[in-house]
Amino acid sequence: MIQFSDVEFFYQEMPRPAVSGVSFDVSPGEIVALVGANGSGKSTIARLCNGLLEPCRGRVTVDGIDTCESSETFMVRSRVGLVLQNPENQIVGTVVEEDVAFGPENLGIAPSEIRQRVDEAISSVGLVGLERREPHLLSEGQKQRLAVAGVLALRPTYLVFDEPTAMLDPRGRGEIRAIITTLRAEGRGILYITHHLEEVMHMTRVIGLEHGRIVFDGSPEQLLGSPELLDRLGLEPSPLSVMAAELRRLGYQVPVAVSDGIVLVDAVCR
Amino acid sequence: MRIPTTFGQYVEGSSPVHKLDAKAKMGLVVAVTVALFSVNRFAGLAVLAVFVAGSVTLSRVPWGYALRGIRAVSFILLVTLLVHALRWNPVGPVLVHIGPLAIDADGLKTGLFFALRIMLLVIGTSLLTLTTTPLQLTDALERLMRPLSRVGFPAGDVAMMLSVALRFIPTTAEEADKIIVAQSARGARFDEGGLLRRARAYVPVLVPLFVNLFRRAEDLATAMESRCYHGGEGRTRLSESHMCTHDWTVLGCGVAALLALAVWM
Amino acid sequence: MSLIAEGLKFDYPLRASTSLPALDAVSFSLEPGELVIVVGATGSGKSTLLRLCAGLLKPDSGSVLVDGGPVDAKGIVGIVFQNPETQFFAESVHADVAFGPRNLGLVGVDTAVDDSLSAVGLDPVAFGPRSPFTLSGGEARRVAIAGILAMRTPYLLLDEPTAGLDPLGRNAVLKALGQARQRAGVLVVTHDAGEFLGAADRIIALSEGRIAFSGKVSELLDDSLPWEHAGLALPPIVSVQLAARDRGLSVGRVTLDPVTAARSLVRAAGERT
Repeated sequence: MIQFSDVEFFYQEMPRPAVSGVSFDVSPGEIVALVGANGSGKSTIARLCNGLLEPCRGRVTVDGIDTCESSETFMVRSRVGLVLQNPENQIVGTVVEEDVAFGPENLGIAPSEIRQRVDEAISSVGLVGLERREPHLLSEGQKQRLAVAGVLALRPTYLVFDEPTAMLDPRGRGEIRAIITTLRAEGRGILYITHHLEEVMHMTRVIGLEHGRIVFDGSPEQLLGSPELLDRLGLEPSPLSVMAAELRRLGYQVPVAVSDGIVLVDAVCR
Repeated sequence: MRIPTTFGQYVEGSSPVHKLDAKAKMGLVVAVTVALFSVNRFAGLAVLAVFVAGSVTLSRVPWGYALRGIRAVSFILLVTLLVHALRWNPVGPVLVHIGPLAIDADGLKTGLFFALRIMLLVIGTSLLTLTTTPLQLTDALERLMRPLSRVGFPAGDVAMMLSVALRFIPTTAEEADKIIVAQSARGARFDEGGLLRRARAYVPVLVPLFVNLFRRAEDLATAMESRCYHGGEGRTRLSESHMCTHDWTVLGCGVAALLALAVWM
Repeated sequence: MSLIAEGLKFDYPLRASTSLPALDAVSFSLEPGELVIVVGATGSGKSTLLRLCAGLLKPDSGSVLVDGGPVDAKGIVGIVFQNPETQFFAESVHADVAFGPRNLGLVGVDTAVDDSLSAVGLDPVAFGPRSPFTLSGGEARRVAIAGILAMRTPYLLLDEPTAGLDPLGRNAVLKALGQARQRAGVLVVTHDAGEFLGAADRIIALSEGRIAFSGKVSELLDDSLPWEHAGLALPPIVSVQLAARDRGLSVGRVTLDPVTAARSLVRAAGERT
């Protein structure tokens, strides 16, 4: 599990900590949403997960290994894959398969094994057939899938996604969400940063950050039930959710997380 | 909507030239260059021309692509021709007068010699980039630079830098395009006024380009470190091409023949 | 003064003799004072349409005219591209926003700048002197939009103006567009019909380069068929009401307000029993 214990982090020259008193964990098989307004510390936490940033106070451990342990840097970064928001700026290779191979190449893995991992990763994200394609010829969704493949080639147990769909069109968003569902089904532990409330609804748990502190750690239903909290976390319930909330207020039995409106019609007709 | 071309305009193919190891091809280009600048007779140039033309034919690359580079240096070719052909005091039969200068038969011959040399050089090097992917080129460069790492030269890092630069050329070209269009839509004009004014007109294009470049560099560094990049040393490669017997033979024979030519003619 | 597009046809030239068809037989009009949204899947031709309307591309056939004159004349059409905040270059927000109006030779540039910043919900005194590179995502997007608003063009075209913004930023942009439409004709290209339907007067849906349907928003929320044929999804709040209607509930006019929708659903259910 990725475990944060009372973590505090200051960026240089900043008087206030970006995050403080942060404690939580992510276990394999879980998909935990991390939400909060801009500047609440979400991206800082993402980078603390794989040792890119080291806590000023407290500890971050991955399967028991401290992320500050310099002899274990590669172990940590292989276990915890990080996927960022901008697909373009994560692609290093001149063709798709070269980019996917980048991670294993860095670890000095034998070419035959690299080949195997590359084929596996490309297949997981559905880019088979595009191995020798140049990145600038890919769609945004394909580029982001390539970024995920590059991370999967290191065979991580955990994946941290920092707003991976923010720069994608609806088709690209669907592609990435499908991959994440698969990854979770494979038993990996996922930390998913987003400000789309509809993405949060299907996750195991939600952690809400405000000014660098955790103000919520619970189920999506609990979160959706508190409009005040949603506002503080910079989240906006969809019109459908607001409609559902009004029906609940009027006394109808309606689930908190509504993805298909037909549920509301059923509830009213009962 | 311009479709940006990749560096060197690699043309896909499976000819013997394509299949030859990039390092061998580079060696041959060096040898051809040495030979071109060593021969001083038309006969020598003719032999080299046959060699280059033969290579282009063997590569099955359309001649149009191979000759594209000529257009780019056409101005240089013309200048070279004229510099050598124009004489103050013509010797022998004069072909044409241009003001106080004249071109005589001998001058024309010399001018043509030098111009032809440049043409062959351009076609030869074009053939290298037309039949070798950017990745193969940077890999070859890295392999060739590797011995230098023993004296402290960061060969692996330089190779990574080159590879990343190549990867982002089309992306950056597209970005520059977009920025120019956007600033034009805000009324910016890039074709008015003198040199200084036009240069300044590009500030609204260059500044965003550079800012985006720095942001990209930071993101990319984060992504690379997250994927365990730790410098150019100790990295294996998905596919590394090695010089086989065939490559060595071609390189050896080619270099030998070209050097002989250089000495003889 | 109207912007009229007539019979637009456009193909993207590729290599040699091949081309990529982008738009075919597209006609519509835009007047100052209205907000029209153009929706459609990726590749339906939305961005091409925008560029044609801005005069950045010339149609293969058909025309785009403003009062009979060419649309690429200076100061007629202001266009905001996707992710416009990547085009900042000036030392201060004020200077960057002033770029457009200055190039147009407008009088009273400073006032235009301050007014535009206020229109997007940013205090000109606080934000004017700041460097545009220190702004947050939402603020940057708004400053970029202000840069085009300041050009005071009678027509404003925007390509996915709320893409990538958090709810706060999105609402600020929507508010700014609502204000802008008071004196300009605003055309917004978007993937997300639901987001803009509340603010839009008319909607044009593109599918594979052709108009699948177009008309007043109020008239196009009553039937899901045109949307299905165009391959577009109706906003969930609307499809819920239509589904209720299919069930025999008389929900009345389809509304985009969730609370009203909930109450009308309850009332209709009550009436049925």
